[in-house]
Amino acid sequence: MSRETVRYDDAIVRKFLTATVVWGAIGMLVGLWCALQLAVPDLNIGPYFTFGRLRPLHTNAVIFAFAGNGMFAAIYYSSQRLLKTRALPTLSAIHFWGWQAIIAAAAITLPLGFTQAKEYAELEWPIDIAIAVVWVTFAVNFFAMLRNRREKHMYVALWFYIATIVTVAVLHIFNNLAIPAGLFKSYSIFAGVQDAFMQWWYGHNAVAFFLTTPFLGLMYYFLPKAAERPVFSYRLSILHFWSLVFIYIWAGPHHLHYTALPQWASTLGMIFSVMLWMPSWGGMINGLLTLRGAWHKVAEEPVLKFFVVAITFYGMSTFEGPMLSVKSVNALSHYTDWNIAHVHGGALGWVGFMVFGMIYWLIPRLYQAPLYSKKLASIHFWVATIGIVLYVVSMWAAGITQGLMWRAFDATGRLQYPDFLDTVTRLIPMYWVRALGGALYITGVLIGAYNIYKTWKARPATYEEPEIEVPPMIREAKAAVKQERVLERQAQPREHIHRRWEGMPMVFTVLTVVAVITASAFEIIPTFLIGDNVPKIASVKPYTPLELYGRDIYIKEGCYNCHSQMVRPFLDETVRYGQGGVPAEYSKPGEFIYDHPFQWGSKRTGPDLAREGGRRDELWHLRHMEEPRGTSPGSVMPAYPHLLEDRIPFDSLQSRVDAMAMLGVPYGKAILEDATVSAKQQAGELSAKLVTQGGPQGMEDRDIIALIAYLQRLGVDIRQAKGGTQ
Amino acid sequence: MIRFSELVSALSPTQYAELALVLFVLVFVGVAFRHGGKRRATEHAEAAQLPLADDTGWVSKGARR
Repeated sequence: MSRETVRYDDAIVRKFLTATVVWGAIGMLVGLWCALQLAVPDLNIGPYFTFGRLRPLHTNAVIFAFAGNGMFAAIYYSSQRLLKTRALPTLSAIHFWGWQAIIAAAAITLPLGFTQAKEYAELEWPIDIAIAVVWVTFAVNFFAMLRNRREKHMYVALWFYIATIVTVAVLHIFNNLAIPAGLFKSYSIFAGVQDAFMQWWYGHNAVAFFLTTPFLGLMYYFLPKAAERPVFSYRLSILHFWSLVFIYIWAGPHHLHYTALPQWASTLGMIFSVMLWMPSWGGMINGLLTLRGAWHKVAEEPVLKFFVVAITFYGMSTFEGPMLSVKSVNALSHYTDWNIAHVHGGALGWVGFMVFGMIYWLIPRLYQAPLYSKKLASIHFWVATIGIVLYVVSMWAAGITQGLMWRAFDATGRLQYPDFLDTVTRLIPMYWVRALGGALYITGVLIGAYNIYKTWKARPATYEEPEIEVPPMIREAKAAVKQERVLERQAQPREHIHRRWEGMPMVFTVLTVVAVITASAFEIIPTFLIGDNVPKIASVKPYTPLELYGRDIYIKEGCYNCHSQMVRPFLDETVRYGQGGVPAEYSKPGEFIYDHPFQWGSKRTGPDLAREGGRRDELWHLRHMEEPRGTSPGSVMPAYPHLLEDRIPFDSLQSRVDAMAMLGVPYGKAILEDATVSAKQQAGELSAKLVTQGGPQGMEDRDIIALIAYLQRLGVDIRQAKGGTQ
Repeated sequence: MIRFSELVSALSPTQYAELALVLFVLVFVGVAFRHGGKRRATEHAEAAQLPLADDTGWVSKGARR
């Protein structure tokens, strides 16, 4: 049989690696800025750099720019070698530059307030389309490598990459289905409960298939290489893969415990989350035991140090996750900083350390020069490890403190901390410790960046691109040996079925898709189609055009990053969010049928707003937005003085209303013909009310009026359903 | 003709959850059964060697400092 040669494209790996470090540093610095904003509200520089606009920038940057580019570097390096073929250079280039353009677009549009208000899916529809195109380019490139492979068996890392590519595509498309109401404005086609369900099906699986499976693939490839021994148990890796792919996809509803989501879906999400513990720990054990007999190397090799701590954090996060998904734990932890601790254990510990372990292993090979300094790599490791510990412990403390303070009743049966601010100001010292932890982690990253730069400086004038002798392509070899194999099969026992799948990328991909789609369908289709899931409430009416625009401001400013709109059926919540001594009605599915997108939120840095309407007068809201600490001393909310200056774009209201009408929101004929009449009338009335309360004149065409109109509407309809008694 | 929503509503949410559980257990048992035996050990050992067999590029151990 003739031998052929191939040259691996490492230039693309170098590009993605550089992007990982650069965007990682930027994304983390934005995170540090956000952390400091919570301790020092004056660091909110409006209108573009407030917490509500920067926090999505931080999360998108670290997920899609840092972890994303890191994942692509890993995939291009390992897949070419595992498959003994070269990635297609044109597609690689489109993938790389397209992805960087998307990140740049995110960095521009998010501070401008262009957002879909769905966590980790904030980017508006034109960018979503670009993401889909670039992702498909990546997929074509990857599957072309599979097709052109010269190694029959697909190693376990490749299965994890396949699962990532197909599942992320499915998640991205379904969660971002929206009706545009302008070039950078759209409304989710789903509403309320269903939108929430779709979002957290996406959100949790983004964690699963963007932040876990590719990095497990990375672990299964780079850890054996760094330890110079094969993975502990290949069999366990098979179980790990299939269990993870099958179970993860069900877990999303645990983000919605005690909300208006039907209980069966929430329980199902919880049970599968607890089940997830086993495959996750199977994977962790498989990783750690790969180092059996090589532990002495861990003390010497920074690469292995990073990997060991990363895998340990994977174990801790995948224990903590199932625990947080248990309803009774979730009742305490949800909406608190405990979740922030949880995600950062996973992001900084697992993903971050996996990426840096890989980078330190790769750079001498990619830059063809010895690592500049092993000592600096070790310093990076220790500084960052201390940083993670400070970060996570302080946020655990903050989360549990906040959760316990919210639910505390005193001996007389009254809320012990009725003023929400008491529970905010108590956390400030912990926010400082968190900022210190984050700063240490970033210091580590910058030390790493310096080490990489110095290594790169010592690179040769031209990189060697060794020619590798490889067997013929499998698809060509297949044709040649077809007859031979028929004879072989007759003579030998049947080849093991999983081995055969592993040699058949398309079949394998289809099976993965089936696992993912089946699980999704079992949860999603009933949630959408069983009528009883969302009983209608007669008094719940669509938002007026002015309120709709006010809601768009709420979304634009990213209010959902700190305020939930979901009163859970707990005594402390119904009492806290009640009015005039009467407990509030807890949130019902029927309240949200016109909410495109839903605004339930996931964190209460500030109080819940589901029952905000009518709690305070209009002037309080205006003063509060202008300077939050004027009305609420100790508040950490950004100031929004620009809302008193910016004018309502009345001519844009019609397209917003029309988009909602397309989604089935029943606006009457008058509003569909001219939405501005109604909006101007309502704005005029509210503005007059402001003046009678002693407020400024001339607010009838300002954004603040629309936002107040929206806030004053929240929870009003459900009170009418109860005859005004609730 | 029966509507899709009617078809879906014919099962209660609990039954969906039970069906899901059965499906999961079947898949798990299937995969475990396929890969549990000692028979596969050689194949698995070969597969596990794959990442170690591709070191063909520039390799440098140690560091300058």
